[in-house]
Amino acid sequence: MNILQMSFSAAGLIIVVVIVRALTLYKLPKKTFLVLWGVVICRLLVPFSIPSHFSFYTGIYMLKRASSGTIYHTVPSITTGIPAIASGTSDMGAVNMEKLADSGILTIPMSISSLMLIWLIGMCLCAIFFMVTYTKCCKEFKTALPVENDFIALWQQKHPMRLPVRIRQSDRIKSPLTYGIFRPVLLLPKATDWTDETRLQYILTHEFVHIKRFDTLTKLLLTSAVCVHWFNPLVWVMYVLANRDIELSCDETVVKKFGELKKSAYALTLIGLVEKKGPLIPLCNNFSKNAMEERINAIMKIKKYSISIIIVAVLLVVGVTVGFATSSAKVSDNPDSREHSGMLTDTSSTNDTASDNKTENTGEVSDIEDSSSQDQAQTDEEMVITSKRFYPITGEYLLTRINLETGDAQVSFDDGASWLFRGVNPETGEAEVSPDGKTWYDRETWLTIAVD
Amino acid sequence: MEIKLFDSEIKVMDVLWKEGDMTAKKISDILKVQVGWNINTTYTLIKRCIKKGAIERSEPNFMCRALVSKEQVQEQETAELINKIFDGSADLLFASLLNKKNLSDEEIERLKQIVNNLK
Repeated sequence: MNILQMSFSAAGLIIVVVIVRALTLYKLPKKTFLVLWGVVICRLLVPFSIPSHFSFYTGIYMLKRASSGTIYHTVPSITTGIPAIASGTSDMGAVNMEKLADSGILTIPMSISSLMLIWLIGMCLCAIFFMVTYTKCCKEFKTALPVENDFIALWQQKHPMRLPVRIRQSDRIKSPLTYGIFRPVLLLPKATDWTDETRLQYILTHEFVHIKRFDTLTKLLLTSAVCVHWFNPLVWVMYVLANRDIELSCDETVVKKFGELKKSAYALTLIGLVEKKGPLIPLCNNFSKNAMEERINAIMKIKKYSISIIIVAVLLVVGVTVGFATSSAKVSDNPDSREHSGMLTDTSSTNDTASDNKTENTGEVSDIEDSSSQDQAQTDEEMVITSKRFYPITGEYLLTRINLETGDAQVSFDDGASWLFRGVNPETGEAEVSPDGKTWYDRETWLTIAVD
Repeated sequence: MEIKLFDSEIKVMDVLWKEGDMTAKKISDILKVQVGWNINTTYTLIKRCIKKGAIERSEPNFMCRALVSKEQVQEQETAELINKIFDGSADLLFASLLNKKNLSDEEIERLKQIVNNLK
């Protein structure tokens, strides 16, 4: 799966989670949404997908198949991802196809590598931005002073943590926060009312829940997903909402700890903190962020969740995960549909050796073209016959769309490239399509690039 | 000249005020024990104080000398407090301080008189 496919498939999932969240935010335990965002993160950062017959995309794919006159072949392997999305990718490939028709095949590697370059630059810029901001903050936070407060010392004794937590104070921050993953530091603003022990207790508990759950680590994951998928606006939406849900879930835990009767006192503490709101600091568990209203609402609507609500939440998570986080399963009514999927291992009339060696289908083309006059020393390359020259075709193709009359076939690769071919029988030199529309020539695939 | 120092910077100044001129290295050693700052953090703060004109650096060995006295900073901070919280009135600050000690109205009145006379 390439990054675009991952981003596209995750975008669908994000939309679903956003809708589910909007509908059930105040009704379900907030952990539900955290789990759902976790699934989205997996989808964004783990480069393979699990096919499922119950996938939404399986349905889309079958619909498409049923309504389309052309025949699709999918490669049912994990690496090829979601056919429904893949056909979306091939739509983008259509741009390449036009270019191909205009200026020949060499434009494809060009456009792909420049896109790749833009993506890499964007990712680096994003990462640098977050790292610089974080380092700057940390440098500032490190200048914080120790807190000398009996209540806090006592409270810390009563609430031992697996990780030693240092509590410090600073006159540079406006609201409490924690930073550091493995050596967490809880920072309190100097302006904190040190005598209001009830409030202090809420603040400390809230931040300790963050530390216990390694929320800083979660935020780091979220941030890395944003860096990798910076071009996808829905991933930014996820970033904002997931950050809010981390707070909501933390609030929920705190309220449960103190009992529901205390929820208005807790909410008032939060409001008191927001009055002195500080700047937005990425990667830190900032106590007060925007969407305060949502937060206060969420707190005031916390109630005991009945078993049935919890069951609904679990079913929702399972349903969304199976339905939208998996890829379309292989839907095949033809047992030999595999024959033409997978590697394009082609041979030429002058070179009868085919091999399984894999090279990129981009970039290599020009290299080989330059050396095409040489004797075919690259017996380990996959070859495609044109009228005169050989081009290596490698990688796995996703689907072919064959025109039954002309033998024109469109092959999409898993990196989004999409090429046009014409099947030619090397013996007759004629375009040849078997009656089932799938085979060009029985044992091996002979392809001619249809640039003419 | 007005210098706004943050708490952490005042902590650094405090060392110089108490112990007199010393090298940055020594300041960082003291603060490591006292506050738990690592050497980089202390140096960052010293450099900030230099930039603000509160510390003068001289070679060799990064010798640091306080350019402002503790009294100056105290005066400035008090003035700021009076302006910010007590509407520029030193009387009110004084009253607030005295109120905390549960003095009688009479005593307060007398003390206020002293303040007014000294103005």
